[in-house]
Amino acid sequence: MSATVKVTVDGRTIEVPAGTLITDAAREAEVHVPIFCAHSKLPPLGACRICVVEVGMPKLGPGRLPVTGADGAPEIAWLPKVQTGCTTTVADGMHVRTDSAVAVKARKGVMEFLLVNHPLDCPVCDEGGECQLQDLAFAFGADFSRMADAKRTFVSEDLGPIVKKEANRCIVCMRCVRYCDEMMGDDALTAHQRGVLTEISSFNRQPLECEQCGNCIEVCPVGALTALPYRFKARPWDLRQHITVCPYCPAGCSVRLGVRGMEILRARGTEFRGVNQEYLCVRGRFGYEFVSSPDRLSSPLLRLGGSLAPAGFDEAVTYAAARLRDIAAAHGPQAIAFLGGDKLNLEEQYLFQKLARGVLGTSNVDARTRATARLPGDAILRATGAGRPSLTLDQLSRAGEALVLGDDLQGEAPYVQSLLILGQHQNGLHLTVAHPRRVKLARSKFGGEWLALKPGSELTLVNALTAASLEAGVPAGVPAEVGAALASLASALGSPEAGARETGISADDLRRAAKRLCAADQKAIVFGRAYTEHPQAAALVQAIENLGWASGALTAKRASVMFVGPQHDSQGALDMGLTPDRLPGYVDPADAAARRPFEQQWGAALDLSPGLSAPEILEAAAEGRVKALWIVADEWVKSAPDRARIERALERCELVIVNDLFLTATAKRAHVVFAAASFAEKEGVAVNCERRLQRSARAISPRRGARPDGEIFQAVARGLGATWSYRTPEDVFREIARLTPGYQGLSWAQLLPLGPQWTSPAPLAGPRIAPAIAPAAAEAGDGLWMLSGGTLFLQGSLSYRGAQLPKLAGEARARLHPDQAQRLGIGDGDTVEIAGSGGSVTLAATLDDAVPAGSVFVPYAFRECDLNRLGAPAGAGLRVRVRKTAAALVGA
Amino acid sequence: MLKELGQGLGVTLGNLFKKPFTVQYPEEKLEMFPRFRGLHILTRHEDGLERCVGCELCAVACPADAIFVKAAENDPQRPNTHGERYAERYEINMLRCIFCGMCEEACPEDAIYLEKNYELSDYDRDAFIYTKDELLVGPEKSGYLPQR
Amino acid sequence: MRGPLLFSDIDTPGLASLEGYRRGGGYATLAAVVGKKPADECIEIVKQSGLRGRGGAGFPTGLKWSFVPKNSPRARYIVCNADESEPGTFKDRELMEKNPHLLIEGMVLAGYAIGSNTGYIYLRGEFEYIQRILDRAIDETRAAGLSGANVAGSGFRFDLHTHLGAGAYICGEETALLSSLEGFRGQPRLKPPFPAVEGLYACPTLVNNVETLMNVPHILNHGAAWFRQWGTEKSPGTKILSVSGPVKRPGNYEVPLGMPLSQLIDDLCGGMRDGMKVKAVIPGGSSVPLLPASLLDTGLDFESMNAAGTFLGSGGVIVIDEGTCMVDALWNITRFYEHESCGKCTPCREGTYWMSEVLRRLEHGEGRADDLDLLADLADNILGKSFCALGDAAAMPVQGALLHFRDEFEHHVTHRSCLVNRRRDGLSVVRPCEQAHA
Repeated sequence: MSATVKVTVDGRTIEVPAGTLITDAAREAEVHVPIFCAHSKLPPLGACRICVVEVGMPKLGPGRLPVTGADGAPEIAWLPKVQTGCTTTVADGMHVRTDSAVAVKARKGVMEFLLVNHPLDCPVCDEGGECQLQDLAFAFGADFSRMADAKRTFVSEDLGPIVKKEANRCIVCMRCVRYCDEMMGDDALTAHQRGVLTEISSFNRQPLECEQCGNCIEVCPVGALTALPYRFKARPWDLRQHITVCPYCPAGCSVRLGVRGMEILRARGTEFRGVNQEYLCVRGRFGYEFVSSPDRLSSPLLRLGGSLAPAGFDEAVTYAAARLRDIAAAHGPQAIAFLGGDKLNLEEQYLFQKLARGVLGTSNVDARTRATARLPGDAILRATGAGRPSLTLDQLSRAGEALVLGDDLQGEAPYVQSLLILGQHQNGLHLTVAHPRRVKLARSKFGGEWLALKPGSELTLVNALTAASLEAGVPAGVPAEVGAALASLASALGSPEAGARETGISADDLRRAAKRLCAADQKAIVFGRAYTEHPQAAALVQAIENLGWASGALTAKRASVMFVGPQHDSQGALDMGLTPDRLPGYVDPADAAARRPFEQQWGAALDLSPGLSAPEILEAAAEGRVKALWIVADEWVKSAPDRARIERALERCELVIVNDLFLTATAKRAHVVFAAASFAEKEGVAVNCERRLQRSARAISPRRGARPDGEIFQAVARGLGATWSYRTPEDVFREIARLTPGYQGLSWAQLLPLGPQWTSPAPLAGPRIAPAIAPAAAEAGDGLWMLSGGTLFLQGSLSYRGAQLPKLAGEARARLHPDQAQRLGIGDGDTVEIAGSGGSVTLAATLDDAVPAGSVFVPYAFRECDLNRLGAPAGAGLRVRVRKTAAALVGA
Repeated sequence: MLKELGQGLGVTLGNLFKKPFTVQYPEEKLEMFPRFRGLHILTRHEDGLERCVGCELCAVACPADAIFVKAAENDPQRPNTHGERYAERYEINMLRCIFCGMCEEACPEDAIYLEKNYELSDYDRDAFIYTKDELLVGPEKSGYLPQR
Repeated sequence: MRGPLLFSDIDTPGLASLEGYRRGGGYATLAAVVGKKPADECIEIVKQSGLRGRGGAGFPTGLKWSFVPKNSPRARYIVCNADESEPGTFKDRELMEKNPHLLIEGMVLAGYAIGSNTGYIYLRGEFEYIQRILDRAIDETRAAGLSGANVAGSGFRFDLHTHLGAGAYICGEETALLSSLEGFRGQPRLKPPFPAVEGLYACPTLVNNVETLMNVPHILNHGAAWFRQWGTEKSPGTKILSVSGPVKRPGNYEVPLGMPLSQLIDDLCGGMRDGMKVKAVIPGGSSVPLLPASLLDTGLDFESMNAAGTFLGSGGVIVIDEGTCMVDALWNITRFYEHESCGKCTPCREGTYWMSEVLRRLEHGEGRADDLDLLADLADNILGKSFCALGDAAAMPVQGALLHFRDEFEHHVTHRSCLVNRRRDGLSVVRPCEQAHA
């Protein structure tokens, strides 16, 4: 059977892959077949019947030869009934008619039925103007209604704070119910009653208990589900729509911002573009709200005489440049450190480190401000395949086996989580989730395997999985030197049994997980900040590289390991050399030949010694060795691992420059504060977790007084005597594309909205297989393990500046296993004090059996709870003591 | 020749004794034709609630882009309209308006009408942006709809 | 003896118990076949017999059995459709109530033939008392080693369960039945894949009607040729018909397929009650188009019925007398379909509601001149466009009634009174059920 078939739609013959649905084939033939219940992410349903078409096959005569009519054309035997295009696959030689009298009557009939009980309230419906039913009624419906009887009515409901339901408008396409099930894995919606009384609601008609993503609203083709926060704010034709890249997580979803005047009124997916299409998580949908916060900085601030006072931009630039010059002159450039930047656009990241390296001459540059240990700048590159063609998000959802290491993807990258759920439902994907907590993906309803490792045994687990993978031998197709290295690694690692004791997972389970991973044709290993911000990060990332090669997830040709970074452009920060030991494109500064293009372009001899990493900068600043800090888009006071030390560091520094949108706790301690523009107010490129470059458009002009970070860097660089003359981010990108290995050949024009993944023809780093051993460090001590991680509704210091997200997130809670709580005498809702080596925090407790006994879980995104007050983690994590307290909650 | 002159003067003479067409504006004002399109009004239902639901169809129909509407949700305790939605802001820029009546055509609620008031002059440009307060008829005209 | 085959011993006292069933030779076929006759041969015999599904569609049973893949790695299931929800049909109820073991024997044999180890009997919600009868019978067979881990010592395992639906008509449709059995909303699924390939829990599943399965032990016992002594060439065997309406003796009758409808009504049922005259007959449950009195000589078999423009269906013969108003009758039927539409597809969900509203108006004397054309067009817009056959079932009676009795409808519109029922002059009909309906 041929892989493609010929099909004729309304007289146009096209060739499509076998198994294509008629609706898709018709789109290919540029014939419009309307759909309601069909959706690209959902299996065919065939319920709404609007896509009915007439289908026929050539009539066969004697000898199975086609019969031709008088005019020589083959006669078609049309099926007696019309067929639904969304459920019927094409066959070779099939003829489809959408314009015949039969098809037109059938479609008009269905259209009329759809409008039987649909109210004529388009003028007051938020969907009006972008409603598919409205559009199709115009296109295919009659110009009057024969329905003169009473319509059945329902009472409208608020399904929680996000979703407004007007069931009268519902056409029961079941998209919302199925999307919630297939994509979100939440099963929050269902249909009540039957027949004409069918009504979509939550199961108990209470507010939806779900991720509040609002995708049900997005997929609703009519106005049955609308967004409460956007209720009656505007009509669709009022809005200018701009496609930006979501500033929250590394999935890099395209967000279509709807702007009326200077106000962003809503965010939606992009329907047919972007990695996410229609999907947005709750942060993507409501996280833009900080842009119009009244608390935004409206001018640069300068510390003059002890307090911060508004200043002109030029004044602030002149002051900052002069102070930087003085400190560099007095203490050498190594006394200056640049921190943060993984929330910036790619161009700004490049300029940030160019300012540090090329203008000031310091290599103390690090974007990974939360890190608790030094991680080589190319470690993640090597673990994810060194620039080899890598897994796309689409391939991820089609993998046979996906191993999720350490991260709770619900908090870190909700879209990645949804793709895995989709894959599990539709593509036979099997999940293995290694996490101490029973995170969403580890729930039994997703049919995966939960490797519930003991906290602190992360490294042992990855090594044990590697050992189990290598029991079957070295995978075929790895380069010879890798094969040899793996063979010797196998003997060094020992048997999975040793790992089983330490992790608490049986050796059989480990072997089975490794076997599944090795056996799958398309596999995926996903890891993220849980490991890269781990005290044993360097060993863990090395262990993941070992596992990648040992399981066949890394091969000479391809890489199926995905790094889900902490911020939306963390990958860009690594690529652009916001690490102390690598230049853009992971160029080793010690490599004279590779370094030369940068020296020529920048007109400076580069400092060859590796700079200090973020935790080292923190230490050096606290000890007074680093005198000046420039912190960009980072609430470092709250994100640095040790609160006492960061307070001391900021106090001792002679100059602290902060770029931010708000007067954050860090900005309050600065000498110069630059008011920065938000993601919606500037143009630029972000690199997502699949290493895809995407351009984000400028939706609104920057707030008065605020400037894009890139402009700030350029102004200071000029103040320091550099001759930068970038007029637009495009100028910067051109320079990046010229200099940076892996980015060569990319052009600005191809990046909107969905650019390519960058790859390197030759791997940017050789494979390194080495035993991954944690540095002999201080023991973590005793007490409960402090587990922290992302949470769905909040991420980073921007997310709690809006109205919706903090409301949805509620207050910070310490989560304890009921048994553990009972041992400690703690009940649900009690106030507890969590004490670590550095200090304590007080908050309310919640009992949660998803958290293992022997540990306490507090998400780190809450504003009122600064976990770094507990002190820096040691050994394999942070141990704390938890006790019930009568004290009132203490704020930050 | 004299004959024609006589005829001409005859017409003049005849008109001299007719009632004049000219009116003494502003002391005297002309009654406009039934379908004259002057200043807009926003109408009310019989019960005094506003007819306009803030659907913005007038704004999108307006060829001069003279209308701005911002809708909001009714307070169920003190509703402005019969439904859930009402126009929180309703503004017409009379400097842009071309009095074509498309807004009236587009309105699904019989809420906007072009009435016969043609006295639209002022000293200040801002004054030509008519707000909802100026456009909405008083409660005493509840239920009033102009005859067309 | 009420009938030649299934009804031959139906009224025997004690038949419902294992002992009583065995007394009449029950389970002898099972003992002779399971483990002794190759499964393929069983399917072949059923194919030869020409047995056709008794649930309504009349699909050849042996062919259906042969569609179940032999070498699937997944479990195979056999499901007995005992939902019997077609209005006018009450044959399975009597069969199961009085002879549960015949069904069990049939299911074990069918399970053996297709290689299934698990069977489910899906009963409609109202059949709770039948569930108790069946459960007791199943317990008896399990204790006697006739079902369970080792059927009749053959090593063949067959477990049987009953399941009670929640009272939806649509669950008589096989895919909706399977959805309901799985615990989902009772709504039909896409076909293909057909249940034989991907049915219950996405495993190959055979779904057969009670009466169909009850024929199986007899066929396997006596052979295909014996079975063909009744009925016609294409519709062999007997059929139980449930006769309702103003006949003298309504009830279940087992007749050889092909018997003329008039013979059933006049001879077996004793003709019409109180000198009434037949106006029309719905021959196969409310879903099929009705036959006017002029076509009463049509044979009761699948082919003849199709030729007459209707279907044998489930065998629910509803006799309508001349004093019945067709507008009223049609409204009644349409209301049923409106109530029972599952709501999945648009034409059925909205169309049945609309038709029912139009008929309500007609019945109440509020009809409009174009209502009849509207009704006909609505029925046409539903027919063949709905997801499953429920939409067709709702549309066909409307078309049939309009075709044969248009004058009655027109009278309702033009005179605002009833042509046939003088008592309802002026049509101020208000029904108690109307409140509930609205």
